[in-house]
Amino acid sequence: MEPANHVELCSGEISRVGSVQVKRNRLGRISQGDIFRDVEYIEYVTEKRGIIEVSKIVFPLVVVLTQDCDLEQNARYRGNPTSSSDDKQLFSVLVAPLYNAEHVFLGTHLSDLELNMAPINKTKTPGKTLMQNERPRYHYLNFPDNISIVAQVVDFKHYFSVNVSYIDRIRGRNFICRISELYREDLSQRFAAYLARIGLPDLSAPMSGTP
Amino acid sequence: MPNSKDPFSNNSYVTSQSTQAVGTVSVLELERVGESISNTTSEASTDQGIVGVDQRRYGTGKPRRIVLRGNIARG
Repeated sequence: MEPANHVELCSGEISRVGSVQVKRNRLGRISQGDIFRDVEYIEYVTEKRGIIEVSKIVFPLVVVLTQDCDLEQNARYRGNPTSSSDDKQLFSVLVAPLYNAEHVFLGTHLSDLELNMAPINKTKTPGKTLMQNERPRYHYLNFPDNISIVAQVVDFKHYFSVNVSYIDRIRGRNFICRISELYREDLSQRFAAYLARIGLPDLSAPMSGTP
Repeated sequence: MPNSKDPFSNNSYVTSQSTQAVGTVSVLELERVGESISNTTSEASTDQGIVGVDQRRYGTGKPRRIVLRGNIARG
């Protein structure tokens, strides 16, 4: 019996589901599909009577989702004295966190933030459909054996933005790898589809805000 | 004549004051007052022996929260 994260193809071959190809070399700029480690998300900054407090969440891994053409143009024109305007500059880069897939199945991936997430049974339909990337909210990534990242799940609901200059500053030190073109297009397209979904009301539930 | 009470006025005195107000926050030392502790690290060892980017495994840890606090020293 094959492990849960393997699937038999039409050809009869056994393939690991959610497999992606990656490149280890980074470009000279931020690129869509780049995976960075230890990326900080600022929750809030407050200042009261001279006391300043900063709360931040450190995500072990994130993947860049911003369109690559935007990133390319940002890099080309940012700080370029010959460009006639700053029209192409970005303020932020859109990223989504990668969570350890095993933690996601257990529902414990955000336990250190004191958040209880719903467990997903890896061996039943919810887990299998997640690993086959048939659940719009999640994107399962199974990395090649020569890339030392355990299986990850991108949770599109948890996307956030980080400052361009910040990512630029840390990318040399925190770059892990980048997802190859075809697989990053798949990721990008699924993310866009998730964001573009139409939220329909649950007609069986009481409507909020109505008398 | 520029209006000195108008923060958007092109008045060197107002501009100077505005700059000084920001510039006087000269020292800011933040102390780490809280961190949610993870039982796993982001680069834990593995029992599967997969050789990777730099012999470590990434993505085994969990997001954690860090809170920093400190005084704004005004010069």
